[in-house]
Amino acid sequence: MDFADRKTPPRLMVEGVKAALSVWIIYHLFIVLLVPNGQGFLGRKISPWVEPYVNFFEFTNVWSFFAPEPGPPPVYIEYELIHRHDGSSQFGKWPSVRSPYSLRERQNRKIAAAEFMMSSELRAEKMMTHYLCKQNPTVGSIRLWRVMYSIPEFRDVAEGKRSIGDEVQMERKLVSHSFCEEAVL
Amino acid sequence: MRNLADFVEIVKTLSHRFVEAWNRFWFETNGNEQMRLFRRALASLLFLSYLIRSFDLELYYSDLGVAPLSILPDIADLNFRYSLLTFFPGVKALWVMNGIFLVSLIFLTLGLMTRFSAILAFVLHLSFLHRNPGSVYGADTVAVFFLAYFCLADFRQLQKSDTQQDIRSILGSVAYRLSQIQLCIIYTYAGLHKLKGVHWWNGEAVWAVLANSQMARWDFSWISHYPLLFILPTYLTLIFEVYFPVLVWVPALRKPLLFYGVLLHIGIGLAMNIPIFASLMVFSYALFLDEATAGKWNAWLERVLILPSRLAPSFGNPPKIDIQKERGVYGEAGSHWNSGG
Repeated sequence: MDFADRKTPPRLMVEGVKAALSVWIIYHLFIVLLVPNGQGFLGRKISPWVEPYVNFFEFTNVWSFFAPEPGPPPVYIEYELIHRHDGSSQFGKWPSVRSPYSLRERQNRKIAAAEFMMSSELRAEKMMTHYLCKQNPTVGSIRLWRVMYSIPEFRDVAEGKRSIGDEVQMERKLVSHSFCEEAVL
Repeated sequence: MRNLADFVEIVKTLSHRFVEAWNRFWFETNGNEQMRLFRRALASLLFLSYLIRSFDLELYYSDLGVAPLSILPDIADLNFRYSLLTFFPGVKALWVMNGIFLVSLIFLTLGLMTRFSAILAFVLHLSFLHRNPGSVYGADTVAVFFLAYFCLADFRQLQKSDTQQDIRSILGSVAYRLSQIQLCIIYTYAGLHKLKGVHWWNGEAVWAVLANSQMARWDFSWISHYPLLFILPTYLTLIFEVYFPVLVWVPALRKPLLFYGVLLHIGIGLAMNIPIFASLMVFSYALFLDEATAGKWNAWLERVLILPSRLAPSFGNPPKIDIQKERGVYGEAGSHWNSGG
């Protein structure tokens, strides 16, 4: 389009657009300010009015970076693949090992996925079991654990009682033992 | 009676002033240079991020990966969340859409068909997010908002004499202001959420981050002998995030504030190995640069990267235009067009 051909919009139209935009701005700002605190009384009360808009455009973030506590401790989904024919086991974890690359984007996304799975046993079971069964056709069943390592206190590290990444204090919880025939159906 | 008349007059005056201020703030701000700079930076960064994600595309978004369509209702709230990837679930469609997404980000970086590219990038970004919420992390969720605002933005290069408004410039002004406010909202909540945390109160939050072996890039054990090195940054971060939304609007404090923010995010990016997210936050400061500085950066980028800033209008990023000369005069309402930021 040639810009010289563009016509000036009528004043009434411009004012109308401004008025419509003003209504939308107020609604939008109200929502993006409310959503991070959406679990409160007000949030629950007006949820039916905002949910379609918020979910459709994914304006759902609560902006809790490193908050209220500075991130979860190291978390993993550990798994044991039990082979169908000989009953032998194979162990692994998600995310697997620390990426040696300096730009660790892939690993960061896997950590985010691990945290997503850790938030619910059902998620961990559904996501990991299905994936591992598909990837390993000879596997008959899979056991999953949620594993969380504690972060050492700085005093303990300073005094040499613990070291960073020592993985000594951990919480390990069995999530499920699922059969592949059921999982991939 | 006289008092009532005075009261009505005062209310009228205040209302008039409020409407004027509202219009000036939301509809008459020229933030095109800042938005163009931010668009280039963000789009190129997202391109890098999603190019890297392409290596795990089938892992996250195909039925062979961790989130096959059949389990999606069990792991995520799908109410009003739609994804093109659920309508076209095949692996080929996945790769095609990823390709289109990456191309749209290149187009946004270069300034080609910006409105169309922004809408396309936004729709596809939402499609990937809704297809598997488990693969989402910080940079993705921040990008949602800015890509949405890019759909409204006006990226034209306008001259000082351009004092008239059209619908596009009004939308552009709204997009620019919403982007600025969005950044303030992000910091506000990030800061306020931190106030609830014990580690942030006792000054050990930065230690807890550096001692997280899954996240930290290096072994920071040595810092345990120098507690001030993590206690001070903890409180400074808290103060920065809580007060950023207010202080950034004070012209005298803006530069030092942004400078500290850059240092903070570079530190986080290096120590925690999250360079994409850290860069995103730093790039968003372009929204608070003054017009001349943003213009210089744009000119530099165009020169260094040979960006097609003066392509034909049909390619979406029109040449510098003087709207007043090109069009008829619209009237008084749009005559005040202050400099943004």
